[in-house]
Amino acid sequence: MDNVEELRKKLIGSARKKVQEKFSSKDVHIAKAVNLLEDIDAASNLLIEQLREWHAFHFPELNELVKDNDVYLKLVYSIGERKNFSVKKISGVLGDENNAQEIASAASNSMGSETAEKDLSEMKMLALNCLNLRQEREYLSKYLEESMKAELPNFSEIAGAVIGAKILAKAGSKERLAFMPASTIQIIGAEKALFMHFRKGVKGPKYGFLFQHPLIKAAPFHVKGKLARSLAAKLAIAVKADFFGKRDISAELKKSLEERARQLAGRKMKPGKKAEAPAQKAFPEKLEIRRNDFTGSWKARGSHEQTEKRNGYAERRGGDERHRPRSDGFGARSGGFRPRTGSFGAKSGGFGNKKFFGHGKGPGEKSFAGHNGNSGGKSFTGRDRTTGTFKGTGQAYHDTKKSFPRAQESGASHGKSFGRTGPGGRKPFRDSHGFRQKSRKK
Amino acid sequence: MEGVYAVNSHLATENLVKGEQVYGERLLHFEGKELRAWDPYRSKVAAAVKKGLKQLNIGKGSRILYLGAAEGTTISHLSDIIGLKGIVFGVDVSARSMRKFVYLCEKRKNLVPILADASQPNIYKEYLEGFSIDALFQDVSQKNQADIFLKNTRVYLKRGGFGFLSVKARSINSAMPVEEIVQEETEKLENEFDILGVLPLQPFEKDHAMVYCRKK
Repeated sequence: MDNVEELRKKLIGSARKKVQEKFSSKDVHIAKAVNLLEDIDAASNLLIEQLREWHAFHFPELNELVKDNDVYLKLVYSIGERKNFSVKKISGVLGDENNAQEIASAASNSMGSETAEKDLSEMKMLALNCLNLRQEREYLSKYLEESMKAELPNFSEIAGAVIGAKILAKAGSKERLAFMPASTIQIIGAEKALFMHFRKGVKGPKYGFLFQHPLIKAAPFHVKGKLARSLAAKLAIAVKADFFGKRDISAELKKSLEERARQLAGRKMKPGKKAEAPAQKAFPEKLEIRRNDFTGSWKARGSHEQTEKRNGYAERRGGDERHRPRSDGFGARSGGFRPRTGSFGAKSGGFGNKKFFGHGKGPGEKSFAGHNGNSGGKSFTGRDRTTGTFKGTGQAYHDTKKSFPRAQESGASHGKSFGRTGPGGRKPFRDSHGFRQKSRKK
Repeated sequence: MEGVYAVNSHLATENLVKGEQVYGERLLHFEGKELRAWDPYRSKVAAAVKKGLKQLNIGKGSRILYLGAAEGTTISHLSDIIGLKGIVFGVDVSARSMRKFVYLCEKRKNLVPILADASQPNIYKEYLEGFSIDALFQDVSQKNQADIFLKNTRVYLKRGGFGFLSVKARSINSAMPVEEIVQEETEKLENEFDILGVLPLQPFEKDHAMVYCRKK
């Protein structure tokens, strides 16, 4: 049938064209870049952690003394062997006499084992690759900033390049983002919490990616939601201006936003709000989930009174019977969770880009030079949506120096610590809680 | 079952394009024919056959509309079965997976790609005009799977034509038991279809079922 053949040719052609069109917009590159950025952070942190562990066999004191990842990498890469850690060499890398002295004396009096040249050169290679990875990250974020500015000048001015790019990536395309209502922009990135809200009626999310916005971060707790709403509204305006027009209105929007932030910051907390404020009301944070050794069943630990207090039931006690939690701990939202292990698809370091892990000499010395300081200390790691805090910041080592020893002590080592440290159990039982609850009722 | 072979407990179809694999499947040689192993873990139709589907009711020269073509894994086997006289229209929204499917279509003369949303069948109506569709397969991860299926079958499937709806329970509701979801979806079809069988696809596919039906 010629007819069929013709139709087939035509449709193949049109499908090809459509695919081409779809991938020719700038949006797809931005979406890829921002996803890659997160993966690079995760991957480089993973590798650095491994390197620190490995090199600590040889020179553990270095691991303790140097918290800054960049400095550590440079030291390992350019010096490597413990006996070569002289003051002169260290300060050559560090540019700081005092620390150099300290490290050098630690080197001469180290607990580390002797390590063969061959092993050390392997570590050096790993250090080089990590350095390159961090370099790549820097380039990538610069690229992201530039392309966001070119694509959505107003939007990225207010949202910030990375957050803006994340929102854009989730939205799918510039056009779709431009047609989004502010409320959608506000909670984009909090889909899980949103659907939980729809399905189980837990409290809806107030912010998605916007939580990372500096303005929201700086805001006092009780107005964060309000401010997120205003911010999302301005973003919706900004993206429409970008998509439909050419005018630069970011300054005006920013001004009115800051005004709003000031106005909100001055607001007092409503009386009674405080009791309600920690959104964990429904899912008390401290409840420990333990496996009962005798029955083998999972159950929540923590006394009944505690639960009641947290839920604000204690005061109301004796009043309305219906509001009292059931004493068996299966009352609405108070207990009966079963942690679902292995859920929340542990986002283990998705190695976005294999080429950085090869042992080839990479861009080598050239890229090493001119690599100074850390990369601004932005973190792109998992956010604990329920507590509304960020944890396991990608660059914990040099951002929050304090958090490092703690992470070490608690054994948060290889691979598993990304975005999944912090008070555990919260997320899992929120999910399984609702799930179990429903099926049990039936 | 026409065009489907069972070799050593493997399902297989005769390769339309000799010597070429589509997705890295095994090529078997049997009585001078080249067969492509049909993996039930990757193709829901194969899983349904494994789970006891007696008839696919397609054969040489059949015309098929396949919604949710993805990268064309299942479609490649259907294309083996129907031969060069038949035709399969593969519909999918995702440009990303359509890319691979287009390559497949270029190699196999009985495949036609349509990059469109299956929930709006009118968009691709003009292309399908003049073809009466013998069988409609659907494998989409949308909430309104049954609705999409009905919308399409109303427009395209001929009377007495066969429908194969693979119900993805978890796309519809993530909390309800699978059986209930499948039941609900099946009930939606009952007005317009004779339900010939509902096959849960365990262990090949989790939380999926194949609903096999004939248009009244």
